Amino acid sequence: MNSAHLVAGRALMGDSLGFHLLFITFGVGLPLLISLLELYGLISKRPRARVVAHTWSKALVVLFVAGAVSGTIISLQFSLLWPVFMALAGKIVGAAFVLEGIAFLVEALFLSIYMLSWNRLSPLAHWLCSVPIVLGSIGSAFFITTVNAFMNTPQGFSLDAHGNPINIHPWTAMFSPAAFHEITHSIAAYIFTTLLVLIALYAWLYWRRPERDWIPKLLVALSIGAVLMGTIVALLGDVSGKQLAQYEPRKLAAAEGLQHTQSHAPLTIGGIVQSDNTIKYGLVVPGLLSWLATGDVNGTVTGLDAFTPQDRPPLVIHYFFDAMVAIGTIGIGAPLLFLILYRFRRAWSLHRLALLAMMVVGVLGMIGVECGWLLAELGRQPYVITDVLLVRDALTRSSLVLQFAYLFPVFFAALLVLTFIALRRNVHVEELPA
Amino acid sequence: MSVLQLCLYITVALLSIYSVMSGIECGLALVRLWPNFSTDSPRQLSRLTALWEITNVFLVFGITAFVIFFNNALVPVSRVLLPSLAIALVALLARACLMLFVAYRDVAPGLRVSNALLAICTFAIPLTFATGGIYLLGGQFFWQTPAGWTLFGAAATGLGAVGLSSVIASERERLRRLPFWSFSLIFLVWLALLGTILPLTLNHNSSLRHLLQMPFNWVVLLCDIALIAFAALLLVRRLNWVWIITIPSALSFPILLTWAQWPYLSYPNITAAHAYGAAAFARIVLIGLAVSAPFLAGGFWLLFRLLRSSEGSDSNQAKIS
Repeated sequence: MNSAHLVAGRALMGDSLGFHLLFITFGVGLPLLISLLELYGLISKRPRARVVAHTWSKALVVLFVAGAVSGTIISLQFSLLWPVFMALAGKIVGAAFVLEGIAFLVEALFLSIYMLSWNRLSPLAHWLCSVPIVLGSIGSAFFITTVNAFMNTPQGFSLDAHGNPINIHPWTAMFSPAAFHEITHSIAAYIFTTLLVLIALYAWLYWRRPERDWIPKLLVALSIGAVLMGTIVALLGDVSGKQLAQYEPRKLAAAEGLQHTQSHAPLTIGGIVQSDNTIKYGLVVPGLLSWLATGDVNGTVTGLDAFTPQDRPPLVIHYFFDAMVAIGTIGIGAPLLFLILYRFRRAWSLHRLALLAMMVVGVLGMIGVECGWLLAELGRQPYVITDVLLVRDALTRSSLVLQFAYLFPVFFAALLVLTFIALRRNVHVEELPA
Repeated sequence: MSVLQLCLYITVALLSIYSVMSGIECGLALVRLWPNFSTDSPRQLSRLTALWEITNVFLVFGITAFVIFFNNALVPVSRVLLPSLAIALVALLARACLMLFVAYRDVAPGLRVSNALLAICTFAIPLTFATGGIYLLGGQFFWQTPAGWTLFGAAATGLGAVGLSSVIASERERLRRLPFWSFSLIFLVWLALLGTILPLTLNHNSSLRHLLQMPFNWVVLLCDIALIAFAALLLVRRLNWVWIITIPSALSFPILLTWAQWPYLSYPNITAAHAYGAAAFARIVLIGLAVSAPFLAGGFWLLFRLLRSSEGSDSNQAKIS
């Protein structure tokens, strides 16, 4: 296999997953928020909450249409373009793929029911229809993330002399060491990002029509949610860091550009990755990486020298790691600042500069999710299943990969533009009863 | 029945449900080209959107089940089928773009480029998977044998028949506008291909002759019964009941053909037993399916009640008791 073929295969999968991730974020975050908002409207008897939930659900449908197609494409790509990977992973964690399918079916089915039954079922019955959507969306994210965790920290099987898996323990494989922190961190991050995007959206709507006096209250509620979820994401991120140090030291070493295994390991913030795979011009904080990774400033952290050069991930993931952490910090800080200003200097909190900042943070949130995913995936290179299967061995030999690599991004771009147009045409802010 | 057979029939059942769901989508896409019949565009589009999500899930679910349960066959099968299934990948993306365009630009029904492309893509997706299925049945692509062409023709007309019968069932007040004989012809060609021409062509085709076993006779018998039932419905002009024939037939044909080809998964090289690679976790999956089945059945019942009940739109105030 030549390198162009491999690059095309990786680029194609990267494009597809990167595109799909935009919709997964809302697919997981929005159902929960819609359900909670509708429940709040039911309990507090505030029709406004239900109307806002209705508006969000219309957006969810448009996003789901695009997400369903990219999900279908990815499912087929896995089978057709990465058959060796699917044949191997399918034998070990196949149950997770099928259980994800069941959860996805529950989500899609009840989303259709939910949308067709606004004002046709009683409010309580309608809200009950949202519960399976939430369970389905979180369930599908849960099961597919167990597969990703397995790819990062494979266990629950051994290989025979021909490379076929034997002694398979599906539950052990699905709940690998990376599973807990990957599942919790990613699902919490999707909800957090959805909140940031909603804040951005309503900041924009308020910018356009400041007479909508109900928007600031909604912004306060969303900001409280964002601060809470952001804090949870940060705490889970800390757990993730410690888990990375223990179970995926190669990824952590590359993310931090740590060349040598050492105690009192420094954390490098920022900097530029050099051609000799080092990081220069970064802010180096001695001992901080050891403390974050082990809870002790003198703890030992594994460096890149523990791995052969061909097994090391690209140091470019350092940028993604830093960007993810920085965006997460801004994502907590900006809504917190808004809440403080709203309490003590309300006019400042609703000033156009503040609204603009909130819009920027919403966009950054989406970039943060993509960075987190790039860190997880590129940090596993050159393996598709760590230490078991190389990316180049998993890819099909068909030359169609090269054509697809050019064709699919065009379609994805068109679908993204049309989704935006559909959102603008279909989802209108409904003026509300008080 | 062994766990292996159970997994095989579950996979085929999922893909059969997909074929019916995609047939219904084909019907909706087809009548958009037919302005006299398709007067209520928003209503049909809301149905198309509601179905689109579930249809896609069944496709993903069916393909995933095939890949996961029969993972030992994945490498050789994917190598052969990649070029033809590539059309499905492109059609899926093109259709999503077109549907968003048509639905949210309020493109009126009628013979327009966007509606025509939407219909072509809607048909192309299930037909490319039918191409894969025909390859698994005989180890040859459909264009290589007359029997393959017959099966492909049956798949195409079957999609049309299922689609149009489902539209007619829900649009009975517009039956008078229906080009009665065009519809009847699609239905008759579908059943004639499966019930008459396919058995004849199979006799002259070495790669598919193995299908001529007892289960295949059930296909022929079913087609004959369906033809008689259809003739009776034509006589009494009750075409809105045709779905009672088309949907069970479309569901059962793939299952019966799979049964007829047992023990092969991909004739003549790969048996289902050789391809099966889910021994370690099949029971987990089956328990998961059994637990979710009543829940899903209830959901589908509610969805189809909502779809069939008066004016399937957001604004409707009628409550379902």
